Amino acid sequence: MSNFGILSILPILGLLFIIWRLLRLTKSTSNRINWAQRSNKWILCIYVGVLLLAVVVYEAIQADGEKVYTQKEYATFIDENNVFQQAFEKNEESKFDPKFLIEEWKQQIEGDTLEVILNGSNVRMNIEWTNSKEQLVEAKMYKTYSYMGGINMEKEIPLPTLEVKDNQIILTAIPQKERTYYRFTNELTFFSTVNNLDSWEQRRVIGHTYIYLKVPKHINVIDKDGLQFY
Amino acid sequence: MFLCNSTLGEVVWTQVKFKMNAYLGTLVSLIVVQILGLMLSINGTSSMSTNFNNTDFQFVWITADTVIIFVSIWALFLGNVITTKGYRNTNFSFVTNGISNNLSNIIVLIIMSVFAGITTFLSHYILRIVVPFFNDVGYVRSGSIIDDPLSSITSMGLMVSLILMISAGGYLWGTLVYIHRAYMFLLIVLIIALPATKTGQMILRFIFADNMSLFVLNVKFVCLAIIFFVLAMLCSNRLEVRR
Repeated sequence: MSNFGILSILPILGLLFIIWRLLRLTKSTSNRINWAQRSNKWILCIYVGVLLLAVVVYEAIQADGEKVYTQKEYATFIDENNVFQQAFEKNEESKFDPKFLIEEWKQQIEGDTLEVILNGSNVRMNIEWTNSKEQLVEAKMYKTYSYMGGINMEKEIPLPTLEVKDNQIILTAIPQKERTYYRFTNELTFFSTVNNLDSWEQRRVIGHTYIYLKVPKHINVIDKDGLQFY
Repeated sequence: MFLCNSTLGEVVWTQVKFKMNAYLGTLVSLIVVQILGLMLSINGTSSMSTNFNNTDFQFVWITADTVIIFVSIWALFLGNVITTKGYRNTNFSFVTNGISNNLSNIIVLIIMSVFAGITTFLSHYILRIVVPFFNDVGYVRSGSIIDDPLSSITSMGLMVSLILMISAGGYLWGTLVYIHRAYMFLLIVLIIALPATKTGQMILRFIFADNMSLFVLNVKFVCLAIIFFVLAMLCSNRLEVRR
């Protein structure tokens, strides 16, 4: 047996001793004190009452997660995200689900160059080249489903800011944030029949922010960092 | 010759009522044990961190695992303690025999295990309320008794059967100690030997790990409890003849 194994037994032995002493103490106390039985009954009744009250109060507490989704619902979210991703890659705008659309802009630009500035933002961008002879550029921002641990991330993570001015589209990432969430479960981790990590992965839906640009063919789209748009 | 003849059932029932009253203090110690477990659970049982779109997320899981460890140890000693001299002397208040004494003890342990299992499950709800009130953190809506009654009942049943099995083990241990004091060290030897030996690991894996569902695990716990109780009864019957 390893040293770690021996050391891990020590706290258990300590606990064994404490609880044994506690049981002996309650026995000797109830022998010596006459009113112990009545007070014990009161303590038990109050404790059970508090526990039942806790169950009722819990239902009334406002939580961050909107609702508890089933595994099947998460699978549907993932499928819908994949359909959008594929349509986005193939420039099939007609197949974009309108519920993912966040915002859209139209901008008349001067000259034949449109500059895209990404300030730390990791959005996915695609350009549809149109045959239009006009100077009108259209930009649409989409956001697909994002869930993690039962929380709708679309609400938790602010979108990058998109600014369209003159001949520039400026996307700025949100500043670094930290969030901590508490999550409760009825299951005992020791005896859980499902692998918690697998279950966690199945319930994680990673969505992305997409920028879809419609640009006439005669306009060049450039990026300061050297990103090429074709 | 007696004016009235009591049946075994009547004798056992009278003893159960008396013992439940006499051992009420052990249920108070259960509350203390549960509160201790809850206090140690407040910082979470496990956690996971991830980065997503420039945001660091930390998820802290709070489960009843710590409380059930404490309550399991309580159950082990409860099973053991009711076989000790102080508790055994309460039997002198009744006209009794080994069978009725054992049966009443087993019923008392079952009642206490049910109470302990249900309260352990519900005690977790205290944390569900306390944590969001006293921490400035997000709180994820998690499945409750109303959202998911089936899973809640399964978990509750699992806790009851686990506590029952351990209290039955404690009862068998106590009975063996009554036969010979050398058995007192049996539990410590088992705690060390089971995880350290291959056979021990196989037994532990068969009971706790290789389960298709929680129902199977529940059945295993109940079967083990029955085996422990039967062994304890057989041992104590032998004891009655010897002394």
